[in-house]
Amino acid sequence: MGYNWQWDIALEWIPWLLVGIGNTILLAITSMVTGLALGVIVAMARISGPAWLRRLTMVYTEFFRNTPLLIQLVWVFYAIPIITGNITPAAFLAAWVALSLNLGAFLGEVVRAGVTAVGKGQWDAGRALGMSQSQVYRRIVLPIATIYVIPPIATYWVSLFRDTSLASVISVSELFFRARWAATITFQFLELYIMVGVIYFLATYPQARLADFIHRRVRLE
Amino acid sequence: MTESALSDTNLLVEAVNVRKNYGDVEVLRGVNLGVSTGEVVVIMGPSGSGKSTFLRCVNRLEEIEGGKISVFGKDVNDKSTDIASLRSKCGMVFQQFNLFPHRTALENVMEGLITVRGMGRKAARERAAFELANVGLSAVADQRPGQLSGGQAQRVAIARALAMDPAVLLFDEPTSALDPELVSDVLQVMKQLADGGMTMIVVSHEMGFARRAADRVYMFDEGVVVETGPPDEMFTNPSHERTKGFLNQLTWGS
Repeated sequence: MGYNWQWDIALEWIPWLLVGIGNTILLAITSMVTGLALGVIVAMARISGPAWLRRLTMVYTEFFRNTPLLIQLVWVFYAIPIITGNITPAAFLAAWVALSLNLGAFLGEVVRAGVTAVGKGQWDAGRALGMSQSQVYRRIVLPIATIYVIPPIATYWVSLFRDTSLASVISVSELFFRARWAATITFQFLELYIMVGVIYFLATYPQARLADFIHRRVRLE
Repeated sequence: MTESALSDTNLLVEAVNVRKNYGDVEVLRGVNLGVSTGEVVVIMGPSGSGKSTFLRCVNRLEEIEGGKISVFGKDVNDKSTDIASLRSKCGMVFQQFNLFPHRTALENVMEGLITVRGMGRKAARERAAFELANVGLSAVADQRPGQLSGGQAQRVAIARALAMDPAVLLFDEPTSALDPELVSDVLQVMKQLADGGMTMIVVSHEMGFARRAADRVYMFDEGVVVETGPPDEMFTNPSHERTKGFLNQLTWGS
């Protein structure tokens, strides 16, 4: 019943896994860029959009915050071919869209909280100087809100980086997907899953420390 | 027509029968008040009497429901009035300072010069440095508001208002949020401004300041002016019961 450890075989797959981490990083970065853009748009819509748009964005936000990301990935993966009429599976595209939509819902709330946390006193001070509404927004409210939202966004980035592993279920060739592939071929499951865990840790830990540093440093005082 | 009204009365700020509601609550119920050039007016009254609200109506941070407020002869609430331009000539100092927390003290003073006056950065920096020096704060020019004491922050706020060359300064309880030992720094700067001929409307309970700097005191209660007169007269011989009661509370223990 003893497990036959064969680290030499498993370690040969490291280059194969490193391609996977490249895809992981690519997926995380692209999703963060579009997710953040979406979050800002959603926040603006919810703060100052017309009533119908506020309702629409609220439905979107609540839907994506209250369903599992895994389900969203599968849903987008199967929805894309139906919408586009192109039956070629587009795993990376689907993962990018699903992660962006998911992140956009959460970051929309973060950005909205950041903007509304800027006190009325700042508006008073800007307007009393003779600044227009848009000048107060551009030069006072948004820069302060940005400082408020950077720490939570850093936290979301770290979770996003880990959550990309879920994209393996729709066959995105990221780190975990490649580890599973290698494990099925070599039958060295334990070695490969230990290796993939170590790689995730080595990649994520410095980012988590950086996020902590941002939490301590990026604030007004 | 409004221009001639200004030259007739020589009033820089004139409020006639000003009314303001928050929902069903009447905050201002017909306030009349006039400030001429160079005059220092102190507004007193119990909390909820509408004094701060009135001050915020002068530069239209709050809209009014009735009556009329004119500043420099212009109807503040008239749609054709360039309110941003009018506000830029009315400096305002707030109870909670309201400094821009992401900017240094110097940048706080520069902000209006650059954004509203269209001044270049270099000229704005020089002017801001001059204003900070005038309130004795050159040393903290590069610090953020969070690093300043309340007294310093409020003086930066005064410098920020002064940099715009205002024709009138509005003070909304400028010392209420300060520790007692920091109050005099701010009052001293305000006294200098008054001595220099600045037109000022000051909502404050500082009787010492009113006595030494004010030309006229207005006593607000329940949204109206109950009494007005020179400070010495009002403080030593108030004619209205509400004024007496309020002044007694203010001077309790002293």
